[in-house]
Amino acid sequence: MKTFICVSALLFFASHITYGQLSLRIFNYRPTGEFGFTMKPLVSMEIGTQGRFSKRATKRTRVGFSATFLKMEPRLEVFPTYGVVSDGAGTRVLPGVQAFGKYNVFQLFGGIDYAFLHNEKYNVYAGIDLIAGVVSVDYTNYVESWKDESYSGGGILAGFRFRLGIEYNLTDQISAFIDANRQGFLVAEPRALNDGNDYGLGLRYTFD
Amino acid sequence: MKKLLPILAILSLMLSCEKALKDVNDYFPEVSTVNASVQADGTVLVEGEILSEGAAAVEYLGFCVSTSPDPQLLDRQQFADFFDGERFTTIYSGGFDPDATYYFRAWATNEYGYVTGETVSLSGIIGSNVSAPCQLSSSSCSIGGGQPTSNYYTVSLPVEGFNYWEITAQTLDGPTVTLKFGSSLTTAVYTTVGHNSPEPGQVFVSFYSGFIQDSLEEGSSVYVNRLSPGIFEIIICDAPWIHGGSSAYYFNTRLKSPT
Repeated sequence: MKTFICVSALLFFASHITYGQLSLRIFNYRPTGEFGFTMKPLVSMEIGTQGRFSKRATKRTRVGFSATFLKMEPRLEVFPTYGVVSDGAGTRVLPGVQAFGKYNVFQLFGGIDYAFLHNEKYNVYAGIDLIAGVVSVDYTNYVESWKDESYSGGGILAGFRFRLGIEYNLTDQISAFIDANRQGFLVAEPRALNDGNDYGLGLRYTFD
Repeated sequence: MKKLLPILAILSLMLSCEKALKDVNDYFPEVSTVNASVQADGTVLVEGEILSEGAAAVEYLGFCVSTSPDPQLLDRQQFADFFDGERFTTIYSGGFDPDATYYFRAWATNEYGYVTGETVSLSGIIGSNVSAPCQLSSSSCSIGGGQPTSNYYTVSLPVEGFNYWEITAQTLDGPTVTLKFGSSLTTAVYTTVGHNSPEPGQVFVSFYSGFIQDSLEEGSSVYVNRLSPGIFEIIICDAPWIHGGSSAYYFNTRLKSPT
């Protein structure tokens, strides 16, 4: 699986790295919904290659590819779960615990931005990415007299990411940007629909 | 498509309002164990309160009780049988040793998990003396059907078994009676059952006399008063039992254990 990811990542970036456009972004990832109940926010980095908008508004779109790694930390050491059983003795609520040993997410992004406000120095843009990647998860789930399971493994993920951002051209080669992203992705194994927001800032450098 | 992109992006960011709560404990309900009080009949009324529902609707509410200071969810678990949106109650019908201290605790669940409240302790759980609706002579037993009333010459101590208490009473020339109670024996009105595995608050009364061997029908009342630690008076008034598949007879007894 790791080899597959490395090869995919290389193929993913290879054609664009030759253009010499590098972007580096630091962001605060904040899981939302059920994922936000379970996992803490974190700070991570995203590295990729990203085209640039032309100065004279002749090219308002650009394509970008990037990758990131999210090492999620659970918000509780153990979550107080429960199960409900009904039998001849009646209905009972059975206490349980769920604990996450690991929840790592590796994501590859590929997408497009469109600058809907544009001048020589600034671009205000919106974007969309397709997400592909893998998760690596360890967890245990125990409910008294009912369930005692542990899981160690992972699966592929796929999803979307929407973005709003502002880019400022510091020089002909260097741009700074801030953006806000909303992403959702489906994990195949262990099955989950995760979502989150992230708020980042970064630099884009163009090698001439 | 290009024009649509900003709209999609803005919409998705606007719809991302289900942000994680700052304190993870805010997802769970918050409950408090308000009170536990002994009722006149020896039952215990326990009251809890929901201080907060958490991030989702409450699904189950109830109580647990144990002689351990840290009762767990499954310890004599009972669901709330009354809930007015804030306060919830249940009644524990007997099964308490008057010489022990019990710890009651409320609990609640929602889709995120379960929580428990603090504990409330209660000692000396015993009801007011109960009055039987008949006047019988001490140490007497009549199984009905024209059989003469006999007097007990020996009544055993209550013997504790696994989840039951048992008393055996013998008359010289009449029936031998066995009363098997659930996991507790205290001042209370017990109800007869037709099987040999009574729950707390229930009693199985069987007897034999000559060729007759039978047990009381379910649903009759058995009046138990705890006179002092380990000493009980038990009265049964006109409790039916069926002989020969059709004829109903009425059982009356009054005994003191031990005698």
